[in-house]
This record gives sequence, structure tokens and C-alpha cells, in this order.
Amino acid sequence: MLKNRMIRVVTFTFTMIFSGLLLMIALIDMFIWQQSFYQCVSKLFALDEGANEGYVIATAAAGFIYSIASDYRIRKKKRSQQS
Amino acid sequence: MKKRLLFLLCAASVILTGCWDSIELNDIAIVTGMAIDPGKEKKYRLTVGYVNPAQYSKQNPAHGAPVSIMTLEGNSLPEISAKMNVGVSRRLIFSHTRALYINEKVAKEDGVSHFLDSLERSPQFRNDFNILITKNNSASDFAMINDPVERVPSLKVQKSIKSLLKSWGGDPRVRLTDFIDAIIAEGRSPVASTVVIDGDPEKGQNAESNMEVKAPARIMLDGLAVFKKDKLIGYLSLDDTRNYLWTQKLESTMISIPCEEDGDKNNPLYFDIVITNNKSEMKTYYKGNQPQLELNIFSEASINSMQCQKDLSSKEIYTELEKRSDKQIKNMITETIKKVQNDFGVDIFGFGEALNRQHYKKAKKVLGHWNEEFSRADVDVNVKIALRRSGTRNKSFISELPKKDVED
Amino acid sequence: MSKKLVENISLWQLAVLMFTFEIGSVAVVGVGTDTKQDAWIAVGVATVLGAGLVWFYVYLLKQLPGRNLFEMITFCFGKWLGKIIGLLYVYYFLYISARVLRDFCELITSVIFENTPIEVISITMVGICAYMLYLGLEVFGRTGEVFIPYVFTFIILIGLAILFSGEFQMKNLLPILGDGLGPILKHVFPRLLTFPFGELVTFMVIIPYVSHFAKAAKVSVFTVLISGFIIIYGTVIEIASLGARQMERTVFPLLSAAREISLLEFIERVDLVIVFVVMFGIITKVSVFLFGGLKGLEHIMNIPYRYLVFPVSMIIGYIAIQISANNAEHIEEGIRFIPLYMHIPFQIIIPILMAPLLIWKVKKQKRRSDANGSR
Repeated sequence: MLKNRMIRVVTFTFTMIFSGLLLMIALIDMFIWQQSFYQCVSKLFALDEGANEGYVIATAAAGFIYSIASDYRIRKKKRSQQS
Repeated sequence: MKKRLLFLLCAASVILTGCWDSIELNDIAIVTGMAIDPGKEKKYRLTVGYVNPAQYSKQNPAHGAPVSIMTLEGNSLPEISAKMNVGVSRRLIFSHTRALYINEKVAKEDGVSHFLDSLERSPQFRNDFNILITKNNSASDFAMINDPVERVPSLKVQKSIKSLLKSWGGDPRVRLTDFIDAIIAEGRSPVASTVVIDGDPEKGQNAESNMEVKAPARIMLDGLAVFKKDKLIGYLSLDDTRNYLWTQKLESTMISIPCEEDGDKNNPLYFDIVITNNKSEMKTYYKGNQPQLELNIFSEASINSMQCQKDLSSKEIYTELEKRSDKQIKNMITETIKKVQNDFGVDIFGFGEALNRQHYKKAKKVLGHWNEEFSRADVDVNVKIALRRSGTRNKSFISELPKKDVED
Repeated sequence: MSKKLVENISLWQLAVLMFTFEIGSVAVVGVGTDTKQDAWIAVGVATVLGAGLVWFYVYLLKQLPGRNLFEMITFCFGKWLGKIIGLLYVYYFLYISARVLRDFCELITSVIFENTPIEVISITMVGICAYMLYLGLEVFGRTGEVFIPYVFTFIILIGLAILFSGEFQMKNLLPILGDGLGPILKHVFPRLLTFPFGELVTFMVIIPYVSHFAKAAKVSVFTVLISGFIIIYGTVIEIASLGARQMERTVFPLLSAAREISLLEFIERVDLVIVFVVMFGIITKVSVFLFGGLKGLEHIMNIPYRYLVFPVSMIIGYIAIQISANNAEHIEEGIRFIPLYMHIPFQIIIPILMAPLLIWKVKKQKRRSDANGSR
């Protein structure tokens, strides 16, 4: 049980931080500009906001891939230690 | 053995020298501009402008004309250009041509395809020169107008187009292959830039004209020439050219937009936005039997000047200005498209190509008579401007003035 | 878990980091612009209060030597509640680091690289921070050590250059306290106290790793006073050269002030020097906040933070862009929301709530160990 949870810890942290911060931005927008929650969230995911936004999205995706890779590395290390 | 080696060496000395068709550098003349006019006796009158290399020597520049021109008549371009040496001492090299001026009469009456073929076929011409339609004056005049900063006239035109595209966008960035592609394409009609001479062309030809602060003649860009197949049918203004470019690929531009829709008519107040990043997307489809042209534009912009009393540190003002800009730009572009539909009835925007990509089956049926379909189509332009920032000041100092002072 | 890597920074490095941290953002956006020509007084008041706040932070840390903010929180609030509060702190640190990054990106895109997409700047900057943190806290401290002489001299020189180029007009500082103390105090609390000074709460993650922990309190209070003095110096420069009204209109006051410099018609266009100062300050600031967040994640997730450096910093690069649609929205959020609803709870309320709990628990533990010892 504990081992299973340990396995994907970096990816889990990544998704937690990513979604948490996005949610936070949406909530702050909602609070300040008196918009509905749906409005704020849809603003976050409007892809055509800025034709160059692709750069940052690509970087964030690279971060996700990196986190999966480092999870794999951790698991491998652990296995070699166990055996 | 020795004999054989000797023979080999002799043979090598003959073969390895290479450069069969070598030309010495001082035997060539580099052509920078070509101008095509209708001929008096024969079909065309070709004028070439080639640089005078002595002018560009660093040590002791000669005081002469920076370029020299030569004019001949003939029935085809290759013929004339081969014959040019009746008057030119050196062999002409065309691979560095910067501008091709076409007299509007040639473009209107004969069409341009007759000589474009030879340009496309020739190994010397590259795909990097501008095709320019000359208005009013004969095309040969354009190859001769001096410019004090850029000494080669055709180079001046090309650089000016390049700079204009970066700062405002008034050139359709059409090159030879684009032009030819557009002639044969069913869903798009070709366009080209037009140039005019501002001033007296006779005076502008003198090398002495470079001494004057205010150039007596200047080549100016003047919007778009619209073609139907390969024949010129009309012109669009410079503003329309920018709007045309907006539908294609706009690098950057600056627009002034009135602050209020129905403000003071005598003394309207404006704010300027500079577009820094632009994305446009074309959609063509049929609603029943009615063709629909949809254009979605998304641009990022920042505010460059502000004449009215608006506090740019608040988000509401940004949203308001965004809406004003959306509306203004939407109207501008719609107007240009409608003008092209009504006045010319040819699809210079490439909506037909979009239809071909998006609805291939329908396109197959209608592309044969696409220009008629285009002129009766409904236009729907959606513009979304995102204002990002406002330079190094947020509020304008104008907004600090008491309100009454401004109104008076 | 594998053995934790123990990293140490010297007292001098701590002082350097604190100093650049303080002046970084201040040099970008300027402080106290709402109080007009009395901004420097407001900064002075805030400096004294800020020094007190920092002393309080270090006092808390002294109760549990060698443990950072997150370990302290779990110690006080227990395992689960501690983890939740710690996670809130993590989000707070990361959000603020994205905000700081965005401040800097706005500066660069409005002033220097007008045509470069803001996204590219954000990615490159966060890349530098990530690399520095990946190499560790010691490298971070040493980087600060390398650059601090330039930062310090540049700021001093800018002021002198403005003074000697005749743009420095003392009369702009008048009238002193024209509206009385009321507006100043209103501005100091909550905005000015929290913005450059209260943010030092992040250093509660770094101070435990100082080699001479006993002297940390003195050094950090002293650094805060010095940096407060430099901020006052910068603010006086801004007011005196631009005037209070113009300073209110500019988005980046210190930069605009530096543009006034024209010394002997020879030393001109020195605003890029300010950009250098700002750039280093921002790198420090983003890195400190990022480090705070990462250390928190290390504690909560029980995994060495080096695994998380790159993924998390890439999120920061994305969030910095996503945080607001335009400059006005960004600044307005910074004024209306952040100080009151984010800075105050995390910088003041939670530490104050924690203090009695901490002291009580430490005493209890001591008593128990004493009792065990006597038996």
C-alpha cells in the first residue's frame, strides 16, 4: 500500500501543484472580478489567448514528462537497492 | 613508367583547371532592377538597371551615377536581355535582381504570364525579388530614381518594403512563385504591390539629386494591384492592403482607434495600439446553398498612446478598450472584403483554398466558378484583441488634468 | 528515506540573499507610490516594523534549532493538520514566485525587448532559477556573493549620477507630511509592511541552514535595516528626480528615474544598469520563493527536492503567464487582493498563532526529557 503510493510521487506532486495553482488563479479572479467560476476556468483553458502561449504549454508538458521520467528513475533505483 | 606518370600529370593539368564557363569579376554587370514597358514597335521594352562598381570602391569612389540603365525593345525577355550587350560592355548577371517593375499597361492589356514563364524557367532568377506594378509613370523611370540613403534604386524599394512589413504592413509579400501559384490556383487570385513616383522623375534621375535634403523624386509604395488570372483589373489603397495582410499574415501594425464611438466629431480623440502578435484563421463553408466566409482573428497588442482621459491602471478600462478595438478592426476588415467582393469579384484572400482544405467534396463542385461564389458570399469577421500592456506609464498625464480643461 | 543532504550557507551569504531579495521587486515596481512625496517616510516606518517582524521569525526558529518552517508547522499542529497548512504555504510561495516572475517579464517586454514574446522571457528566467536551485543552496548563496558588489555599487552610483546630472530636486520632497501621518500608516499596513518586508517569511526555510545559527537573528535584522535604508535611498531618488505625480504614473519608477541621467553628456542611457540590478534581484527572489515551496514539498511528500526542481519550476513559467491577461489586471490584483488575503494570513496571522503553541510544546518536551533524565 505504502509502496504503491510512493511509486508515482513526483508525477503526483506535479499534478497537485499544477492543478492547485490553476485553481487558485481561477478563485482569485472569481473573487476580484466577480465572475462566475465557469468563466474563470474557461479563461484559463482558452487556447487562443496568445499565439505564443504554445511555448509555455510545451514547457509545462516537458515538466510533466520529466516528472514521469524521474519517477521511473526512482523506482529503478529502489529496485536495485532491494535486490 | 615515368612516361605514363608524365602523361597523367599533363592530363591532370588540363582537366583539373575546371571552370569551363568562368567569367572574370570585371567582366560582369550586376542587374538590380528590371522594368517592363509596352514597346512601340515590338511587344516589350525592357529596361535594366545595373550597378556601377566603381561607385562602391572604398578607397576612391568615383563620382558618377551609382547605377546605369539600358533600354531595348523586343518580343520576349530572354531575347532582349541577350541582346543588351549592343550597348552594355559587360555581361549582365540577373541573379541579384531586387525588383521587377511592370508597367500597368502591360499588366492590363497583355497580362503578365507571357514573361513570367521565362523568369520562372531561367536558372538565373531567384525567388527573392519583388514584383511591383508601376502606376502613372513608365516603368523605366522607376529603375532610375536615385535615393540618397540607398544608392541602388531597386535595393531601396526592397528594403523599404521589408521595413514597412515590420512596422506597419503594407505589402502582400508576394514573390514570383506565390504569384504564379495564385494565377493557376482556383481558390485564389494573385495580387502584387504597386509603386508610384512622388515628385519629378526627370530630376530624380540625376546623381546630383542625392545632394538635396528633400529628394526631388521618391518611389513610394501605394497599395495593392488586383489581378484576375494574369490580367490587372484594379487597385486597392494602402489601408486596404494592411487589412488584406491581416487576413494573411501580419507581423506588426499600428492603428489609431477613436476612444468613443460617437464622440466629438470635430475633435475626435484616439488611442493607438500596436499589434505585436497576430493569428488569423479562415473558414469557408456552405449554409444550404449560400457560401459563408468566416475569418477569426486573434491579436495581442499593447497601447502606445492615449489622447483621452482613461486610467490605464484599471482592468475595466482595458476591457473597454479591447472591445472598441475589436469593433473597429472588425469593421475595417469587413469593409475591405466587401469592397473586393463588389468591385472586383475575385478572391484574393484565398477563401477558396480554405474551402478546398476544409470541405473537399463541396470545393470540387464550386471551385470552377469560385469567383462568382465568392462575390455573393456572406462575410463574418470575428476579431479578438488582447491588450497586454501600456509601455512605461499607466495613467496618461492627460487623465490628471481636471475634466473641464480638456473639454474646453 | 535516503539521508538528507545537509547544506549550509554562511552568514554573509544569508545577508546577501536577504538584501537582493528585498531590493529586487522594489526596484521593479517601486513602493509607496500612493503616499506621494512621503513615500520614503512610509518606507522608513515599514522598515522598522519589518525588522521587528524578522526578529520575530528568527525568534520562532530559535525555539527549535535546525528545523525549518515546515518542520516547525508539523511540530506545532500535528501530522495531518501540519501537512495541510504546510501545503497552503507551498501554494503561497509558488504563487508569489510566479507573480514576481511576471513583474519582471512585464518590465522586460515593455521596456527592452518589445517584440520578444513574454513567454520566452518567462521560460528562460525560470530556467536559470531552476538550474541554480538544482545545484543547491550553497551555489545559490555563492552566486549572490559574486554579484552583490555590482548590485550595491550600481544602485549607489545611479543615485549619485542623478544627483550630479542636476535632475535631483529636493523641492520635490516637499511638503513633508502634508497630509499628516494618517495616510502613511494606512499605507504601511497592510501593503508596505507585507510587500517587501513581510515576504521575508520565506527565509524561515533558509535561515535554519545557516552555519552560525546563533548569530542569524542579529544579522538578519541588521540586513533588513540596511536594505530598508537602500530602499529609502531609491525612493528618494525616484521622488526627487521624477516628482511625486510622475512617479505615480510610471509603471517602473526606478527605471524611469535612471533614464533621466545624463552626466557630462557622456554617461547616458544607463537604464540597462537598473535592468541588471532588477534581473539579479528577481532571480534571487524567484529562487528563494521557489526554494521555500520545494522544501515544503520535500517535507510533505518525503522526497528529495532535487527531483522536483525542474517540474515545479516549469509550472512556475506557465503560471507566470497564465496569472493574468494584462498588466493592469496583474497590478490591480497585486494591490487589491494579495496583501490583504494572502500576505497577512501567511506572514503574520499563522506565525502569531503558532508562537504560543510552539513555546508551550517546546516547554512540555523539555520537561519530559528533564523528567526522564532525573529518573
